[in-house]
Amino acid sequence: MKAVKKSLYTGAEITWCRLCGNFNIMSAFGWAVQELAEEIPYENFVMVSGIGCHGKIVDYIDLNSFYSLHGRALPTATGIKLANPELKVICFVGDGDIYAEGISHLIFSAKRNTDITVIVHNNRAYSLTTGQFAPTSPAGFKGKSTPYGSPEDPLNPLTLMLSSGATFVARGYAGLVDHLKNIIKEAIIHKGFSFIDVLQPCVAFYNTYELYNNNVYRLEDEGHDPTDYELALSKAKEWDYNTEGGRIGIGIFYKVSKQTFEERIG
Amino acid sequence: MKFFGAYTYLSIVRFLYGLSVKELYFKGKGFVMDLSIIIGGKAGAGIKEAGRMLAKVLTKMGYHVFVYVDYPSLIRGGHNFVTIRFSEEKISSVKKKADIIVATDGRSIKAHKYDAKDSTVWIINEKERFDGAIRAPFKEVAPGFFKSSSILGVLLRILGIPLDEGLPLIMSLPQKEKNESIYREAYKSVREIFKVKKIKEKVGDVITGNEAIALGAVDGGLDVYIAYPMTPASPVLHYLAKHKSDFGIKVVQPENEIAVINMALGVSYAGKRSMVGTSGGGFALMTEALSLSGMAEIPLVIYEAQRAGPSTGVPTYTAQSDLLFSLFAGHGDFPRVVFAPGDPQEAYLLARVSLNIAWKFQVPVILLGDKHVGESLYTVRLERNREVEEPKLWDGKGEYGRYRFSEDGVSPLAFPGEEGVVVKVSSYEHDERGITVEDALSVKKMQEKRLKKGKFIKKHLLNSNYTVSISGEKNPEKVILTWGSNKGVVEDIAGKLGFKVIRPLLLEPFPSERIKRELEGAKLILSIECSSSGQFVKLLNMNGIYPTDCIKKYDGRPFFSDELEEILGEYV
Repeated sequence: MKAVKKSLYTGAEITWCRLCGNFNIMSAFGWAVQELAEEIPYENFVMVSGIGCHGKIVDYIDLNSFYSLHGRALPTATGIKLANPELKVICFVGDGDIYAEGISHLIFSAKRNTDITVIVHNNRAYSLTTGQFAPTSPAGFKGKSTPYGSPEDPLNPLTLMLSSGATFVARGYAGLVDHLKNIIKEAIIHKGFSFIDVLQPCVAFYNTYELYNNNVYRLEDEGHDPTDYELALSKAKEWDYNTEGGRIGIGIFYKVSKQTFEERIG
Repeated sequence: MKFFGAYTYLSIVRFLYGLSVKELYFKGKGFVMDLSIIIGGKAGAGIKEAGRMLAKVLTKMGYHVFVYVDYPSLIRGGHNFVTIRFSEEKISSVKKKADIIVATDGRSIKAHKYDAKDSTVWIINEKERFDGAIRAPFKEVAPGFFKSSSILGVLLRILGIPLDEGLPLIMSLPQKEKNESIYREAYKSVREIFKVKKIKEKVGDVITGNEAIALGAVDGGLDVYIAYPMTPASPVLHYLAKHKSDFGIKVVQPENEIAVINMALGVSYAGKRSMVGTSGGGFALMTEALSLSGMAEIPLVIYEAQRAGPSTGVPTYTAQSDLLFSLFAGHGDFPRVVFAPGDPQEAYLLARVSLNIAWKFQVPVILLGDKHVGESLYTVRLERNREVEEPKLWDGKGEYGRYRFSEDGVSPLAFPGEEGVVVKVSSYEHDERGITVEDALSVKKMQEKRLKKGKFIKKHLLNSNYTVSISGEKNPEKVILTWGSNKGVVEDIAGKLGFKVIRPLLLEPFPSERIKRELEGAKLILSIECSSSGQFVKLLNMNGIYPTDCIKKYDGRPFFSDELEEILGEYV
């Protein structure tokens, strides 16, 4: 199939804040889609989103989309794959969306190895609801519902996904678009459940640009072997989403081939 | 049955057990054989299986059979029973009082003491003592699962049915040699009391409402069935999972009911027909996505098999108390369709219709059943026909918009994967392309599009064949208004007592005008339902229909025909 250069913008008014991490996630995805267009026709892409600032991405990109419910993008995506396995289904979800409301679906989608891609816009705060603490906010996070600091430690989505059976586990940074674009491409091509936790600064409620700019490093620069499960786990544990410093690896932590849910269900 | 045969039968019965003639009521020249048998025992003792096998033998001999299944929510122990009623005439209910009681354990004797009449034949486990009872070797001959074979053997001999009639069923069981010897031994252990003869060719198959729903859905074009286990809807999941290859469908059991319904919406969005099944608690979890189905205009069929609530309630028992919940579940305004089948025939038909209606109008359709119609065994001749109507599809002209305004409010469908088409659906209020809008005019226009569609649905359905069922006496002075699984018991006795029966099959949109027309001239209007707060009466009142009196049952059990006959007798 010959790639047709297509404008991927719907023309809808964009309502993200200036410098919001969502812009770069959208750019990285759009870029990935354009590059993949040689192999995957545009009509075979389906975007599924949850509810949150991240979800607006489906209004902006002119591809098939299902603007689902808060936390429920993954079962919706699974249904789409069940109906038509030819489609490339990419879920755009938020951290409150999928690490709180819809966490059961995240675990089960990984467990099943459903052939979908999950991109988590992880700004570690509830932003569309104007600033409450989220599952990956650091302990002590001062949000509107926790003015004296969050009483909970954050969860580590990477170790969660590794222990749930995800066959592709990655972390990207919205500040590094080309790196993120490459991860997204790999994730879409990957046959099976691919998961990308994207560190996304929120300029309104949790601006983490400085933290990430100072601490992220590319796993591939250190010769990381993504087929080694134990190594992936130890790399995932390197940063606990709580400490304000330390090394934060980005890239593909783990990648393995396994029969997909769609293949097994017949 | 010829009169002579009937007379002979009566003489034998009266000679042996002094069974009163009243039990076998006369009709025309002959009399009608109508016997009820209770089989009781521990859960896991093969009680249900025995009931099913006996029902199959009796239908093969030309009888109409109805089997009520009563079991608690546990796997081993406790007390289970089935009531098998068979008759030469069409019946779809059971009586509380039985002619034969088979008590395979001591507890069953106590449990069914009040289900016996003076003339009841008791068959008990040989370890027990009970004056006048026939003792049969249930335990020694047949431990555990093989009890069903011994129960069948004993009952066929008691009923005077040849051993060979039950043999094909026994031979289809696992470990058939062992089952066969148990069956033969049990058959020999008792003597013949009744003379149940083959009266004609088979009048139908033994089928549950749940099986009929599964078949109806398949014939309505079902592609994917998704459900989380929940009694009493689970048999549909089991049946479809077992036969999925024959039906060419996919069957999925996700992590919870929320995943179930969202997955189903994903399936429909991508162009395949989906259906989900659950009971009240699971349906409660689905309501957010029910509203999504309404907003995003994605076709979906929900089978809601009611059980006794509130909350976990009495999980394996029946009720009609999710009626108003089904009509009003979900936030916001959106059109929906609710159907309520009264027997497997209607369950099959309405399941098939539901799939087509959901796709024709791109709305959620709720098929509201209950444990009684779902799990009871009926004698039905089901004529299957695959009927899959093509929905309104996009003609490929111009730019595609998923929510294009149209005269009837229904926008043409296209699916992801079609070249040149971008299909955007949304849980947010949206414009014709499916992109989020919040301005007053756009919001109003899209609300009105859905309203228009609701009116179109109403017009279509109120003129369809699936609105109201009328039966019983033509004389309209005494009328029974009822719904759902009460069909069987009400229709079994209403005609005899001179009642006309009006029963809506369609609960939303509600066929109130038709019902009002049918009620013209009625002096006594009785509503019958299984809900303590009278939800059906509330629905009738909302539509300007006011019954004279309301008969309610809310102990988890369906109305029994002798029980209801007594209640109705007070109004006659």
